[in-house]
Amino acid sequence: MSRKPIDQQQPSECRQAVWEEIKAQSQSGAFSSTEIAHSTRLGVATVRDYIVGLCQAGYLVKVSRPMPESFKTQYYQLENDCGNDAPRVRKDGTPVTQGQGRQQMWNAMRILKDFSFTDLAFNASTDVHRVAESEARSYCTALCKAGYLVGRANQRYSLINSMWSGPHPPQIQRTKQVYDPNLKRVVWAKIEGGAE
Amino acid sequence: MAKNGLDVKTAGLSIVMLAMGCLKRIVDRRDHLPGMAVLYGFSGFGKSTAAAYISNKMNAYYVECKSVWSKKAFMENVLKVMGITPGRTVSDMLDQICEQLAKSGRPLIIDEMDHIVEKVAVEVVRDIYEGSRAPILLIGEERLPAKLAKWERFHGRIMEWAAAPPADLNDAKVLADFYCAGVTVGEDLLTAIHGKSKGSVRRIVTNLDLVRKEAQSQGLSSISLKEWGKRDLYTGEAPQPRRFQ
Repeated sequence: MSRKPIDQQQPSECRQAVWEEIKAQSQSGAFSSTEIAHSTRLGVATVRDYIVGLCQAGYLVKVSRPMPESFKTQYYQLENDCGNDAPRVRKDGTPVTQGQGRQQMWNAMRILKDFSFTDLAFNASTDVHRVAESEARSYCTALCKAGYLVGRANQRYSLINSMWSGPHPPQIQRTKQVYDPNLKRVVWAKIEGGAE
Repeated sequence: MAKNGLDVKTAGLSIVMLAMGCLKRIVDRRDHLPGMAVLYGFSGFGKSTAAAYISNKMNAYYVECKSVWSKKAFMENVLKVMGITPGRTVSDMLDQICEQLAKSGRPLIIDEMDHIVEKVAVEVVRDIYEGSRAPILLIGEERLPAKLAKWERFHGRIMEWAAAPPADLNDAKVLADFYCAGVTVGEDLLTAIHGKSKGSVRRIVTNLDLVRKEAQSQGLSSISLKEWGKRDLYTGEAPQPRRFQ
């Protein structure tokens, strides 16, 4: 099953909701993926995939409970509480790297305030993930359209302070819209066939 | 140059290496050692570049103080950076910040610290540190250490005072490699740029931009002092007064 575009998902249909539920339930002991799925109203398979990943990465540990053979429910316990942000892990426990470049650019923009896309590519690169100039250019263009940045002379941009909505970078969707995960809504969409 | 990773030019700047080392030492410190560090220096020396690099690299929270901030405004902004809805009272917010820092193990970088030093807000930083024992890097202008000296209880918690160095010739080379990609900048021109820029990363970048544009408009693939000629380089100084004849 393919994933729906993020703006069409339920607000709770994301890992953050699962993570928050795990944190809440772990205060009263162990939990199973079915319990989490039930209280977040998500599919058991979705939740289980994420929980397996968290387990592989060491955030959760399996606990065994004395129970009859017929009930083979696996229970988990929170082992490493890393705070508010849901860990971004794949099913095999390795960290998700998709969107790393955008995250780094979004962080760097707030620090630089006024920059060209060359500056952004230079300042947002680390030795783990390099940001290409072309990547910086297309992200700047999209954020400029959506009103986060103002374009200045010489292809410089500056971030509008009040538009910095939170730690998560706005996403450019394939359908040519910009979705802000902090505000949980589409902030810009290209209107097809509008007055040109 | 970065070891065991991509060869990213940013990591080769001396200010970035200094800031990185500084943050690493407070992150990897032993428990009984103080966990705060101060990075100070003149404007334009690349402190923000360094902050951008190290906050991405070390996954740190970064806040930049504003002169109008009160204690409460400071904490609200830290929570916004963390993506947490602030609690109702100031002490709720302090607890939220401390909990998130302690659990996530992420360092906190506070830039433009000068702005809140004069106010009681500086006490909040100490409270956050005491409540979370998280590594905290304070960044500010040249006079920041002198300003902090007034707060005695603060002083003892600082492990390292790092003075931002002026950009050296190697830094100019690193910047030229990136900002003038495709154009070879002659050694003599680079030395001239470095001299005129007086150690400021920002001015070096401005000058390299001028050089790249000139080279492109003349269609040159390499440019040295001879081709540059008597054109002005940006020094950041106010113009000399004109004389009335």
